[in-house]
Amino acid sequence: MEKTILHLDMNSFFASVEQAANPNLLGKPIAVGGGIKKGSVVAACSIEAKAFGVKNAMSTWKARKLCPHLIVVIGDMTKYIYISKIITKMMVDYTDLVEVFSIDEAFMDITKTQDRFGGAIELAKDIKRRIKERFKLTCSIGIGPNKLIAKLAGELQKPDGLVVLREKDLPTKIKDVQVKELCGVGRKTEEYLRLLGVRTIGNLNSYPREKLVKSFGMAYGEQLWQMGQCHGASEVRPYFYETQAKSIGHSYTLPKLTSNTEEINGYLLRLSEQVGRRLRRENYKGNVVCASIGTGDDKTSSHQKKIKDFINDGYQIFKVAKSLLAITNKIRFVSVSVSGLLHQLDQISLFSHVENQKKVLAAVDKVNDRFGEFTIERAAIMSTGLQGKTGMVPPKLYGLRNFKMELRGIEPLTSRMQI
Amino acid sequence: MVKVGTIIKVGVVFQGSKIIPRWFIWESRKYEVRSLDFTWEESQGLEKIIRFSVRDGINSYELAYNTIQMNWALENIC
Ligand SMILES: [Mg+2]
Repeated sequence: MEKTILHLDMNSFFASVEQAANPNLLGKPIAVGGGIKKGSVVAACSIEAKAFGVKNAMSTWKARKLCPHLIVVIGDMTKYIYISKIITKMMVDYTDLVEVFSIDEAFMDITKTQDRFGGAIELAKDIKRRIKERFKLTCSIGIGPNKLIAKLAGELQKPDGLVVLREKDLPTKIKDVQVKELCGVGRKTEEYLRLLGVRTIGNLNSYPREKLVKSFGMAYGEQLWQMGQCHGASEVRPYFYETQAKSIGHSYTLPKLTSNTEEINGYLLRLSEQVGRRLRRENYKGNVVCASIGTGDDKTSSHQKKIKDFINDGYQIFKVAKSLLAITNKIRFVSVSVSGLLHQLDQISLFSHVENQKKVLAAVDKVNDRFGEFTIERAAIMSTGLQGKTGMVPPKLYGLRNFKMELRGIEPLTSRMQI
Repeated sequence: MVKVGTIIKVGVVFQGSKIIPRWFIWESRKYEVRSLDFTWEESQGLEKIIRFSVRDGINSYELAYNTIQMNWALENIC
C-alpha cells in the first residue's frame, strides 16, 4: 500500500519566532545569531534579510555589509526548543509516528490516521492553522509516498506551502526540479552530477545505474540512482524511541595480549572516534563515558564517569576514557561507550566556535562515509604509529564489535558481544 | 537588545489559567503593557519560568515569572 508521509518545515524558524515575539521586528531584515562580536555567524535570518542576499551560516560582518539595516538579534535557544516541543506535541495528536528530524523539521506517517481528519490535505491544513494560531508562525508541508519525496515537496513551495506528490505524479511532476533540492545531494555532488550532464531530477531518473555506481561508488551511486527513481525510506521513527536512555559503544579485541600503554591508547582513541562518529550520525550527545579493558576471557574491568558537558567528539571521549583506565596487566580487549544520551534537539548551540567545531566534524564524517572508515584521522592517531598496515586497519578483521544497548540498570560492558 | 535581569514589580491579571501582565515598574517608572505578544516556558532544574514578550507601544520587553520563587524579573529590552 502506498504510504502517506508528511514533512513539516518551519519557515525561517528562529527569525520568525523573534519577529512573532517582538512585532516591532515584523517586516524588517533580521538575523539571529550569537551577537555582533567578531567571528559570530548568522544562525538564521528573516525572509526580508534573505532578499538582501543574507544567508544562514554567513558571518555577521558580511551580512551587515550586504544589508546595512540588518537587525542582529541574540538567539534564545530555550525559546526555540520550547516551541519546537509544543509543535511536536501538536503533531502527535494526528499520529504516534512522528520523527523529529531537526529543531524545525519533522516527519509524520499519516497513512493509517489521515482519514480521521478528512484526508492528508485537511490534516495538513489543520496543523498549519494551529501553529499559526498559537505562535503566529508559518510552515511548509510536503506530502509524499516516502520521506525523500515528502521533504522535496515541502521545498517546492516556501513560505507557507502545502504540496502533495502522489506516486503516480512521479517523476513527471518533478522532472524539471534541480537535483540539489534532493535531501542528500550536497554541493559537491551537484557539481559532479552537472559534469555528467545531470541537472534535474528528470536527468537523474534516466541516467544509467551502472554509470552512477562507477562515478560515485557502490553505496552512494546506488543511493543516487534510487533517489532518481524517487525511491526513499518511508519508515518514520517515532519520537519516543529517540528519547530512550541507551548507550552507544564500540569494543575491540586486540590481535595479541599487550601492556603497551601507547598501543592501547591508540586503540582507545580509534574506538572513541568511532563512538563519536556514531553519536553524531544519530544526533546524540552523552555525558557518561565508560571504558573497559580485559584479558579476553571473562575478566573485564569497567569504569565510568559522569562529566559536566554533553559530548560527541571522539577526542573528548578519548580523554575521559583514558583517564579512567590504569593498565597494570596485559590485556586483549578494549571498549568505550557513551551513555546519558540526549537527542541533539536539546543541544543545539548558537555559539560560533562550537558551530565551527561541529562543521569540521561533520565534514570529516562525510569524507569517511564516502571513502571508508579512518580516511581522515586526527594527528594523535598518526603519532601512535598504529595507522596503516601495523595496527587496526581494517579493524573489522580483528573482530571490531558494534553494540548499542539499553542501559536499564545493567552494566553494558561486562559481557562481550559475540558475532 | 539590552540585558537587564532585575527583579521588578508587576501588575498581573489571572484569567482562568492564563497570566496577563498589565503593567510593571522599573527604575521608578511605570510601563503600561499594551500588548502581550508571546509566551513560552523554561525549566531550570525544578524551577519553572514562564516568559512573556510584551510591548508598551514603544519597545518590546521580556518579563519572566519564576513559579517557585514567585518573583518577576525584567530580562531584556528589545
Ligand atoms: Mg526551516
